[in-house]
Amino acid sequence: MSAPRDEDRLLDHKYDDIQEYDNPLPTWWTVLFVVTIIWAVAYYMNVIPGVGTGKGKIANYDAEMAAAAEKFGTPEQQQEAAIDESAVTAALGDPAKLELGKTTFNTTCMACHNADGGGNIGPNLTDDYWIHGNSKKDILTTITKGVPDKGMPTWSATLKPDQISAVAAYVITLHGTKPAVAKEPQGILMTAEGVPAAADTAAAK
Amino acid sequence: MNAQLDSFKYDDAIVRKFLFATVLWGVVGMLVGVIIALQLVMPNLNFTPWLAFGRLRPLHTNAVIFAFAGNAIFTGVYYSSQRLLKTRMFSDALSAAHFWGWQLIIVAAAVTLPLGITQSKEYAELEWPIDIMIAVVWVIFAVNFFMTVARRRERHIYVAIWFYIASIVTVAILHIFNNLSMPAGLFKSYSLYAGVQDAFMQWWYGHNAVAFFLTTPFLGLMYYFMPKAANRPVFSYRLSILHFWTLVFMYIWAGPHHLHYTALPEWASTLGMIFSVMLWMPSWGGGVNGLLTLRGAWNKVAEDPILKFFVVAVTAYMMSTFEGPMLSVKSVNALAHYTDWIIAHVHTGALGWNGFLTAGMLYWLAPRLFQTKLFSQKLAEVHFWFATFGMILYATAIYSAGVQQGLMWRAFDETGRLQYPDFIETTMKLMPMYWMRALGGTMFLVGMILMAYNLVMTWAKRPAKYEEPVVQAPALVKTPGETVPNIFAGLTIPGHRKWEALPLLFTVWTAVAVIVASLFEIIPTFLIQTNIPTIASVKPYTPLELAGRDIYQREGCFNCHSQMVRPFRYETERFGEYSKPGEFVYDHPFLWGSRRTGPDLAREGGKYNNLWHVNHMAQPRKVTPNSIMPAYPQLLTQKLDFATIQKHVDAMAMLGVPYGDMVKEGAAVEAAKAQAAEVAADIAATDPNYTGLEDKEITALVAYLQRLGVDIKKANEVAAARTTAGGQ
Repeated sequence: MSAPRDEDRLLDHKYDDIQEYDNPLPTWWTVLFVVTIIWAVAYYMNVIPGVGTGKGKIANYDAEMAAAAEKFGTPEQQQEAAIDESAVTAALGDPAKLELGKTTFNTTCMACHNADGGGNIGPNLTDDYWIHGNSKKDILTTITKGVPDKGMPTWSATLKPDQISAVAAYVITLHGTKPAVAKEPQGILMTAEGVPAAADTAAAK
Repeated sequence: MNAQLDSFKYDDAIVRKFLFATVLWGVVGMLVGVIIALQLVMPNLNFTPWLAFGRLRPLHTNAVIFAFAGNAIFTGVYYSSQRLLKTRMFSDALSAAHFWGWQLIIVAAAVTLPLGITQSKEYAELEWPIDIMIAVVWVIFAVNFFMTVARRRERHIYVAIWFYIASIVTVAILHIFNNLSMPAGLFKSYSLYAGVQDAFMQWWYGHNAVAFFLTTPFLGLMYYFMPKAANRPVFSYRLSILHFWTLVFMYIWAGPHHLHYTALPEWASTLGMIFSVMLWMPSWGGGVNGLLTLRGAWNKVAEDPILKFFVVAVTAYMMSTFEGPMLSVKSVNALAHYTDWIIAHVHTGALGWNGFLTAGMLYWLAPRLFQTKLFSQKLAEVHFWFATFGMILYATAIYSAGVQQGLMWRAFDETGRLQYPDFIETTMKLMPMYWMRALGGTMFLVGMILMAYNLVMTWAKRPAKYEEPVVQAPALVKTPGETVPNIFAGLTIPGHRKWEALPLLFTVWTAVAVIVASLFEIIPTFLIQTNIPTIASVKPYTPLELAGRDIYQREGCFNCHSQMVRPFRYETERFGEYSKPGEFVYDHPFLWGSRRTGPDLAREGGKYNNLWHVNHMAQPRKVTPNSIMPAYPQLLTQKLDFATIQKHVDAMAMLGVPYGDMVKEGAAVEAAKAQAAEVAADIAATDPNYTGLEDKEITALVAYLQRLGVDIKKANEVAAARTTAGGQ
């Protein structure tokens, strides 16, 4: 079919000298418009519960979480996996790991414990007093699970297991250093790793 | 035609006024844009509280949308309507009241926003007294416009006028219903709606502000100025009719696509999405009609900067109205939401469509309004290239930034842990692109300044006295059909012509299209109880926390921090349990945010201790190296205004928030002081350097931040809320 020329369709009216053709709608425009409408109806039908295959955002989320738990373990299992004392022991003898621990400490922990571990928002890590224990396992647990009530974040969401063991090792190396500015002791006096001194406690906070 | 010829004159003085206002506010608005772009790369540029990012960002958006684009609309509407309707504007006094009223509103915005006076709803930040001014001035404009239509000497109304009608009617409806609020003082109010419903109303408004302030009026301008400049007939009258009505009816549904995967019920966001997709062709109808109007005039485009501006404008319009539907598709939106992709999208529209169309229009108008040749054609050409390259640079940079950050947020490593768990890592990656964006924005601004210079120099060459040519047109003779119109006349396209002769009826049908479409979504949002399953452990904010929330709003924290965790594993791993509708029932207004320049705060409560927050507000970079957040040391010294707390609590209680005995005279203040003392004591206990914070603003803000998202943890209702909130 041969379309008539534009000029044949020129409307006889002028608005402030503006004229209009009465050209037909471009075919591709009409087709695409109809396609989007059909798609819209089909999409909506598909997400009506019981009608289509769409399950909704919450069901999809639950499925996503279940699949991840299946593949990588639950968040709790992942936390437990990060609490690995032998990794800390290994890191203590590995300069590369200690360096990783230091870097991690200086980006993540420094804001609250100071670069030298002397403490400000969080407690002093260099003295003999510990609030949540000084064994490798206790330190790992404190870092991994945090102490939300006291403002220590749960770091398992942010740090990877090798970073956690490295930073725990680095914290152990800070013990006994004497920072220029150190926070007053908090917690229980520990005479050795995992050994509290009986009856000698600083005011716990 | 033997009708008698009337003689009259057009009012071009008012058009000249609007033209200068457009240029002035355009330069100001874009300058503020460049400043906030630089603040994102150099946080130290937030050197005073008044000019910090959180307060300047709304100033930028308001200045560009309502001051620059608004005055551009009025310039074009006042010029074209008189000529299309063959009559002078109805009342010179109303025209003047409209002009000066609008400029007064802009000045009021420019003063109050830096002062932190805000309703904290995007593009509706201005507080209630200014909202009332806007409503009054808009009514003045509407009366002036519709009376001009009534006095026309042209029987049928042209497509540009249709678009003006739709804009004027719909903007009034949107403005009034989104801004309904309970005043709690001259410069403070709380939204009438809470949480999910407030979010719904806001984005019904927000999206349609884009539609009926930045799209339909500019389409009207395009339909007048483009065929004028090209001296070619419009491509298709039929397309005009079809795309006008489908656009007006479908646009209004699209708002909820701004809230995909939020606590908004999913049926609403699905409706928003499918209507956005269907809106693609109605939007493109305007672009097709614009570009095909240039058939036979493309040779002129090469030499005429005005047509060049128009071509880029329509192209940008078509790009962003393709991108809009694409972004509304849930899976795309999941990636783009909260990132700079959205910022890129709006700038393609605002710089490309609104900016270029306005520039072309002003260059076309200048010689006609100032009755002399344009000062420099060459400078206009230079402006075009500055604007084009500026926009390309801006868009390239910020699209890349958006996609990159979106991908980093969702990346998992091989052990199933977040690849970039530290939020700041994803921010630092954007810095080179932010520099590039600032450069692109600066180039666009330079172009604007060149235009301002060019127009002022043209004005300087104006004649000593403007000629006011006498126009002649035959008077409109009333036909009997006009007095008692058949409201169904014109329902078919061939009959549309009848409607065009009946503007009142045309207006009524436009309003019906917009209102009916709105009600389809609004009524279920407000009436269906299961949309928002209540959570028993969610309680109102304490008076001190409410005061902290007021500070959070005043400083514009919501401009960079969302409070809405979406149900994706990569979000819940990073921020905590996803947000539930029932958590926001006391949030007047909602503060979900739309861009995560910083991390989400929905589960901020209890993440860090009080002292962490104090140190962080005093100097974010001491706590988070490389943070780009402004520092707020003044919050540690400014006294908290306990005197207004009672009034604020009372206003919230009047909105239905169960404050119980707190509304008794002084009870709220007492409670606030007691809680402040507790918080301050805890801070002082952790760091003795901080003393005397119990009457400082920081204490209220910390109390608020520590409250965020904790109610749901109190009772183990997560599972219960989940099962009832699920499904479509």
